[in-house]
Amino acid sequence: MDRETFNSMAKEFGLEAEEAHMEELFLYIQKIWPALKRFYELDLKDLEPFMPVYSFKE
Amino acid sequence: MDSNHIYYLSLSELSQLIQKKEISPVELVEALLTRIETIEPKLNSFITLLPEQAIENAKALEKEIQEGKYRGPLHGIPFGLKDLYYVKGIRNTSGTKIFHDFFPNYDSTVAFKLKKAGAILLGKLNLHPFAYGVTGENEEYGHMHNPWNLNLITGGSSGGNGSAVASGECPFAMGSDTGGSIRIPSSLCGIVGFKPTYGRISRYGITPLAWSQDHPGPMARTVEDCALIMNAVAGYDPNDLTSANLSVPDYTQGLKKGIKGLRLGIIKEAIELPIEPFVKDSFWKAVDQLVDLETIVSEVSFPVYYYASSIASVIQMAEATAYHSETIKSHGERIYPPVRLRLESGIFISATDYIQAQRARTLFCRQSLDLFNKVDLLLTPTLPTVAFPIGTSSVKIEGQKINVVSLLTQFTRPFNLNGFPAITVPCGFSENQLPIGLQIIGRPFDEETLLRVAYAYEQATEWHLKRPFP
Repeated sequence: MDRETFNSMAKEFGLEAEEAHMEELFLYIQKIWPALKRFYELDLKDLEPFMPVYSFKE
Repeated sequence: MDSNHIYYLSLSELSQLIQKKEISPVELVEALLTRIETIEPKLNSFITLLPEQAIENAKALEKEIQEGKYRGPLHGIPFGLKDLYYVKGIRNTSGTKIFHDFFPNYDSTVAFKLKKAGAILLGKLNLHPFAYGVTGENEEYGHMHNPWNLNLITGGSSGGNGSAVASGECPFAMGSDTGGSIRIPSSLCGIVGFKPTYGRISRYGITPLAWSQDHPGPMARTVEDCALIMNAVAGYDPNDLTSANLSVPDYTQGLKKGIKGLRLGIIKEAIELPIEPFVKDSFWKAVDQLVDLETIVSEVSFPVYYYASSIASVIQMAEATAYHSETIKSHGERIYPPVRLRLESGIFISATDYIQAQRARTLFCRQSLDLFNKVDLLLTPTLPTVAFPIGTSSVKIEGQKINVVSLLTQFTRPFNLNGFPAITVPCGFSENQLPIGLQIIGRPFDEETLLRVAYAYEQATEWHLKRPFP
């Protein structure tokens, strides 16, 4: 994620914080992103999103 | 009865003594309050203690027994609730002073059911702020301390539960588990922690972390105690949209039926992850013990297991940020810094990321179910290590430096993603006398078989009888 996208998404959410904190958050995201997005390696073809089973009955 | 020992009796033993009128609920509550007064300054298990209310309730419940009205095995049994279970009129902090003045005006379903069963609430237990962490560190209400070594973490997020139950402050406590938050502190503190199937226990009135992965469950000193608690708290609740409308068995009935012939699977991809050698050793000894009990053990392959953390984390982050969005905006600077970073990073998960992760979750659930065509239960160590010093951010295992969140959730988080039931039971101790846990995972809604194996293992060993304090 580049800094411009980061700033834009933070603004859209309404996140306001000191610049030092925003920098820390940006660096944190850069650090965790590769592991988080690892699941994109999977073949998701023909899969629907998981749905919790509402009021599952016998 | 020597009151020095009351606090280490199991729920089941206490229950029999109460029913036979050999101890009274008032005596028991007083003994536990004395125990708490003595050791709580070292442990910091509780955020809110309710001594007067507990004594009042105990008196009323004692009167019922004297009048011949016995409600069942939980009648007169004291307990603790993680401080995110709503109880009408009692402070509910969710582990942060931002909510210090929040007093819910209704009971969570679990609190309501336990009250009805005659259990006595001693207090609300400390937790990692927002339940969003695995160590049990809390700068605002004070860190939780492991009773086996006070310099070490309890694990989290239900850390107060772990220390309170392990040290004899209460015989059981109710926790919640989104990535391991019941099983992690249970393993690190040497007790039994049970996360039943998603939908088995109502989430109504429990502060959410991530709706689709939050599981309430019991923490106690024996498997039988967990079964007794399940009998009181499990079951359909129309107030929880994801509650399963299924009949609930008597979880104690099948405990002693034996486990001969049950097929147990060891997940190849799990045991290839970094694990401390002494944990591996305890795990394989536990497997041998289960073979001695005439189960059939085999290795199974679960390729998508490697992706569980990635899938579960994306979903958890998006849901946690959505739930706490107003708090992030209005009180960001007051949130415990590591939790603040986790909460704010969820802002950057896109809708597409979230949906794609849910599609990957479908694949994960399908492969999980396929495994149960080959075996009846799965086994892993609960954690790859034992408790470490408070303040630790990463641990080196097998030459790899791993951050504590990834490390402590590597065997627990996958079973929040599929919602399958999982339990941790003590299975050994490290050289420096720190507890090690064995995790057993079952088919959805087949908690009975899971508890049966856990019980058989527990009865064949003595790990659950070791205590951190005299």
